[in-house]
Amino acid sequence: MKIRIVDTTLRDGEQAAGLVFSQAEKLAIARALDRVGVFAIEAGTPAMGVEEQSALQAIVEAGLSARVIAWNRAVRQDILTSVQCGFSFIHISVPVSELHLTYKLKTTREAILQQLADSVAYARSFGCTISVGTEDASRADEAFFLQVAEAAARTGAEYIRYSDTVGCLEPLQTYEIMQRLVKKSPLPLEIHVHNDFGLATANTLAAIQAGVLMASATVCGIGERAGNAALEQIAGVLTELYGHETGIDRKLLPDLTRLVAQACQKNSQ
Amino acid sequence: MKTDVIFIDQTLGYGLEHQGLGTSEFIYIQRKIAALAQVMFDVSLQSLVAVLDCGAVAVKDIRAGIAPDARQVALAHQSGCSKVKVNLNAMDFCNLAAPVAEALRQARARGLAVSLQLTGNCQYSSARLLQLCWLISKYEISSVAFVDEYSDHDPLFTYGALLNLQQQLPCPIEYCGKNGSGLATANALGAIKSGVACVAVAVGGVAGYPAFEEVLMGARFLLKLPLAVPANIATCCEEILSYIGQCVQPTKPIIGSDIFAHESGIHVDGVNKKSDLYEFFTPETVGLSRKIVIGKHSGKAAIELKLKELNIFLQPTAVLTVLEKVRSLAIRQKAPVSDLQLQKLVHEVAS
Repeated sequence: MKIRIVDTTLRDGEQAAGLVFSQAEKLAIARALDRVGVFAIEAGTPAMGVEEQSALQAIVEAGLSARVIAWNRAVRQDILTSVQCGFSFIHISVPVSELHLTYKLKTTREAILQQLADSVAYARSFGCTISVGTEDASRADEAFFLQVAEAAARTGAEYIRYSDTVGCLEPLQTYEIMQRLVKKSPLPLEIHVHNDFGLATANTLAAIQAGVLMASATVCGIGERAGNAALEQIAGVLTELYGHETGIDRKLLPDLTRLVAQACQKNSQ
Repeated sequence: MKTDVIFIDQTLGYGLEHQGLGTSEFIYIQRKIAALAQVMFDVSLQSLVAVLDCGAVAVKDIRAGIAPDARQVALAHQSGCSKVKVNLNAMDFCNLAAPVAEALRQARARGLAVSLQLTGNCQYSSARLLQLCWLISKYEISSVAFVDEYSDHDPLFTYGALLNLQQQLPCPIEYCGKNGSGLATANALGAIKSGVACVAVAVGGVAGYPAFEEVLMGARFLLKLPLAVPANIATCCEEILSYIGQCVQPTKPIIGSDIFAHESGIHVDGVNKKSDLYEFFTPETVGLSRKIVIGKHSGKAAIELKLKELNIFLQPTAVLTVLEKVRSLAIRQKAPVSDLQLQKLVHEVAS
């Protein structure tokens, strides 16, 4: 079975508090990820400002074999900025739990569905390939997640990311949820998990055992709070325990992890 | 699921073997670990004897790890142990060698509670399960511990295999996960979910055992078992680890100092509105505190929050200018922006 790895070291990984990659480091990491063989590189968020846009443009123009994806809120200006940076693979994220809809965005399910549909259509109008992210999906109503997936599919998204934003899934539960969603979702699923309980690798694996074919990861598991699923661990377990193909050349992983570890060093002020 | 989980600690044994803990340190750490949850300590007989020689140690909750050898059984008994764990290869119990049988007979005769620790895969044929049942009954084995020796179990396998073994075996089962594949905590939770009440753990995941704090918190908050989590678990684990020469990585789940540090604009805005938007449990649950970091990924809300903390008022347009300068400075210096630096930037913008 072929599992596609979507690396988000340069986006969610760099969101670890206090971490800053320089433009040169971002480009070097992107090239190294490409050499290692990830399916896609989530390179960053162009809406963050001109300096980030410059770094991202350099990655887009590097001629990598992997897809290079821009992360976006479901906001037209963000998407336009990504397109102007040269991105043709656009990830659009919307929160889907009641908690996030009510307390973060103060919005409704209907409004978020409309916002997503508008955003996907807008990005599609530039000829972009779209993936949709569902923030806090693990605390959301499954039926609403499927409504979002249907809306995303209708408007032409290619796949949908299921995010365990606060790392609150446990593997047997992940397996059960993913078994249901793999059957019901009109779009292929990507699993994206956090490591708050030390379960990121196990939850990713459980999702794959349930039939999910795309997994998000970061090098060395860097990321918000306790981090994300670690690319090198996921690639190892999938290959060693299950014989799945990931496209990852594991011989090159030590160089990649060294490069990222070096880039994670902070300058002392 | 059993609601009464016993955590079989491996930290103390590791500390004795690798750090040469003295008696007072041994007693101190033992108390600290015992305060985390309901605990039994696995310690090798050799280490235990060494520490007993140095002074009084309460062996009540200690289980001595021994080889299947009658002399070791006798020594454990003389040392005051009432519980021993006998290591057996899964292949050996089918044809018990005479010395092994004698060791088990001696342990039984001396009234020791004997646990068998079986290495190797825990998928057994019916014939081997029958032999194991016979062994358990003949030597009145108290429990059987299954070890993920090669780190090749996954949570689905662990759950299914242990569920099956609990139905087949006439004694309680224990589970000892290993973290070679990064699945130890998940396997321990899978074991608990299958009904196993005793799982091996070590604070901070030392020696590749499931991390005590992760399994405890996972059992409490994900499996919803009625377990108490000490409010000072982070500092307590840090202190225990320092005694055995280990430090806590800042992003270590549950106890790392940075697990409640937020920088990205969306997250800071979120936790400011309602903390559980981006924190599944509060910092207070584990005795840590939240930090707002100002840097490359900061957003307007984070700057406003920090300025409020610093008693600085700025017009909204000026806040956006400060934000741009903050991001730029963080990128230039490849580090977050300190309060002092932020104040300087505010001064630049205001003047």
